[in-house]
Amino acid sequence: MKNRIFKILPALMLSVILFSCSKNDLHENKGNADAEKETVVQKESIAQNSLYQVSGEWTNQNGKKINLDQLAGKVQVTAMIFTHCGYACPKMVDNMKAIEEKLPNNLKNKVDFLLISFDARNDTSARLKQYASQKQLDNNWTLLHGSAEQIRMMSMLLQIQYSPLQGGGFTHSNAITILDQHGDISGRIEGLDINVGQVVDAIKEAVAKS
Amino acid sequence: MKVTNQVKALNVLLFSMFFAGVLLLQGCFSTPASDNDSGKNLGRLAGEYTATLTSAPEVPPSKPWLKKPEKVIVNIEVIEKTMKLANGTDYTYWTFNGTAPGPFIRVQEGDEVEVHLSNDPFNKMPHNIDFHAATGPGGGAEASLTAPGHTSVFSFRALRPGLFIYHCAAAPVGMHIANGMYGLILVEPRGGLKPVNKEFYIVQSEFYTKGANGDTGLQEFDLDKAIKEQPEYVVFDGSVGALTGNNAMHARVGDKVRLFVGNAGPNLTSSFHVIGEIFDNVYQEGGSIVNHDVQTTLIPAGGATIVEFTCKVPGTYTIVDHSIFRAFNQGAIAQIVVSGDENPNIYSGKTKDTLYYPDNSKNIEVPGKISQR
Amino acid sequence: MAILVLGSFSAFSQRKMKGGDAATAGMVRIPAGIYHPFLKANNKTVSVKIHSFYLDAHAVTNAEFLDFVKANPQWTRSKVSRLFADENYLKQWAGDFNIGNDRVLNSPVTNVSWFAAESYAKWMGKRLPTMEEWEYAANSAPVNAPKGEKLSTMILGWYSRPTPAVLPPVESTFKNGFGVYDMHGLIWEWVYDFNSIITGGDSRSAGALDKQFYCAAGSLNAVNKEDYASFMRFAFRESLKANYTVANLGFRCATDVDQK
Repeated sequence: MKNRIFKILPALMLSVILFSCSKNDLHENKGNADAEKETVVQKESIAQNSLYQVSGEWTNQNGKKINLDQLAGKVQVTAMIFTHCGYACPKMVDNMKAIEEKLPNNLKNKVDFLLISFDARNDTSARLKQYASQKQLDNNWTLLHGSAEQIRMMSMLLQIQYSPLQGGGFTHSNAITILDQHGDISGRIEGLDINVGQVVDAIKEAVAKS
Repeated sequence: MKVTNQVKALNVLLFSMFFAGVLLLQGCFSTPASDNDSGKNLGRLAGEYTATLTSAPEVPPSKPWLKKPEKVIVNIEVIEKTMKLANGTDYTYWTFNGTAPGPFIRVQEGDEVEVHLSNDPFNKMPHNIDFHAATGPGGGAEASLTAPGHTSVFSFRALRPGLFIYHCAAAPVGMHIANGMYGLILVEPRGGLKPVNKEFYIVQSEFYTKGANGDTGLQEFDLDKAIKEQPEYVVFDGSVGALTGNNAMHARVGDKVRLFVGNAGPNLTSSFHVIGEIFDNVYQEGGSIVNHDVQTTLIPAGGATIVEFTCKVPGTYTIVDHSIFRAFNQGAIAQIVVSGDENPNIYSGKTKDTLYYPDNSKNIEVPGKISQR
Repeated sequence: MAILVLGSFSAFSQRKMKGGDAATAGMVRIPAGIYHPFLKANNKTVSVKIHSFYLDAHAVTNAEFLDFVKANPQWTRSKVSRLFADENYLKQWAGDFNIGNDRVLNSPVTNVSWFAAESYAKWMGKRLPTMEEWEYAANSAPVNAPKGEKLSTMILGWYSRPTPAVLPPVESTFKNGFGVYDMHGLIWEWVYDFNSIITGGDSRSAGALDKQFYCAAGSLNAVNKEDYASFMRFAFRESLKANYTVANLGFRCATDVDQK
């Protein structure tokens, strides 16, 4: 039932995020009628599911400090990688480039691509910049460097398993997560052997929610 | 590749390579390696229904009128609970749907089986399910690893007909099987098996308890005995006496009886035998080769077989693992009670009892027939 | 800003410490040592150096967690984000600020997600123990264990008994050689990096992961194939997601030893 409500009341989320605190205070102080309380709670639940409520400063490939909520407004096609990965991550990035190419024109300015590195030590913003140019990633791509703690938190949010290996490198699961423009998880695609068309459909669905 | 929405994302389907379990049983009722194997020619699903599940020794009815593949929904709940293993002896079973063995599942070749595996919130363990009838990594084990309080959903096409074991494969797999997590799924050829009068569901398995056979109270699992393959109990349908005395199976003279027999192991191979019957048909290892006129048939651990026989003479027929100490010392006994008219042309019972002198000179007849039954 | 207040992990106030030693009150100092992980890497037993750290002597209780929820109402049952905890979050409680059963005040809090446990730890000025720390601290037999009884055998005993209707209080099982209570036999416990277990969910594949889905430098397999208790903990962790809540899964906290 609740899930259905999420779907019926889609957008408005950013504004709800912004106002939820004060509304919250409102209904606690005044003890509004039950019906009104209900709607407040429901709207809060929607806003509450955004990844962007997790604060913390990341650094992008241009050395700019950003908070996750600055990614709001566009659908983010998201994956976790590390730049020294020899097999899975290059394939993951190639998959995402293939998705980008397949995007219909009317979606191109509504969708961005987000790579978050597992490797707090080696994947500095300079290294991410180098990787982006090496892989010919355009301005629609954001590559993020964060602390080990931020990375672990992100892996929990994106349901990615990973483990640092002795002597460098990481074992990790592979998945693309589609975040809608409010930062809600709209879809997950696991594995490297993806059907690009199906992913594009999932992206369309995420855009439609906006 | 899988695309999941927000809700389904919980049921993470992590696939990796593991085929051994599924490749074990390649036999089938029909021509092997049919075009169906690619899945392309399976055709559209004609409909959808929720499977009727039964507890041993009951078998759900066939649905021979279903001429096209269906989507069959199978709801299974994992419940960890204490039950009777033998008189005065309890054991904490890990079960599919509250019984050991778990439910009997009956589908037809080509059906899509959609499994909903729920793990009771108060269970201690994560669980999963590996269908030997499935073709895919782990037989579904990886797709169905489920934490307590959660439900996983996955589906597979029943590509090959046959009788197959399913079991939990969560780490450590041996312990999950040793604690009762197994059952049978029958994939009938399209249109169903030839009807018989009676069908029964039997699974043989071992229990490894801390205490010796007969020790009373709640018994704990004994890992050392399991590794040494020295069970305290070998049983049919989950406990000593599950199919004897008041719990015996029943048939009538003239009945064709079909037994669906699985061997869950976890370790021992069964020498399956019905005392006083000769099997008309044995579907060897649950597959496509049908042998006739068989006394005892081997069932490997993690395997199954279908045996058929005709009840011709009334009486109590004892089913054993003919590795006979398992039967008489460890519990591997079941009974079918056949009622109906005697047939002295086939079996007379005892007609005579005489005194015996080895020198063969003074045999004296004792009058009167003594019936064994 | 409102965004921060809603659910961030740094925005809420940290619980005030009474100063100095009070920060580690109720904690046990675990000495430095070497831990051999249960899973081998590339077929070699791994040695991990564990620095000395403090670990809670017992798991966080319902009463203790209630204090946290009162101070951080975004973690009440009715307000918590589904991103951070599933529908069963704290479902054994009678209400947002009401445990409802005095018998369980001192029992471990369960039905809490990783996110909730992590937030609690932060609020306490602590953190969750890493898996290596937890396993290291847990690999110690009871101080008064029966002679010759292996720890793993004792743990299997717990799994062979049904879950009690009412969870017993903390410190009701046994104290191990480090002076830590209930590491086995009461509840499962979250660890900071529980999602670093990657076997593919099928114990029999012995870590032969499909490169399709995993990027693995080498195969993993168990150091001791008879260590069923470890297999179970690892399988349990692998079955979890960070927002899951489970009826017998709780947690305890750790802190670093200050380098003064």
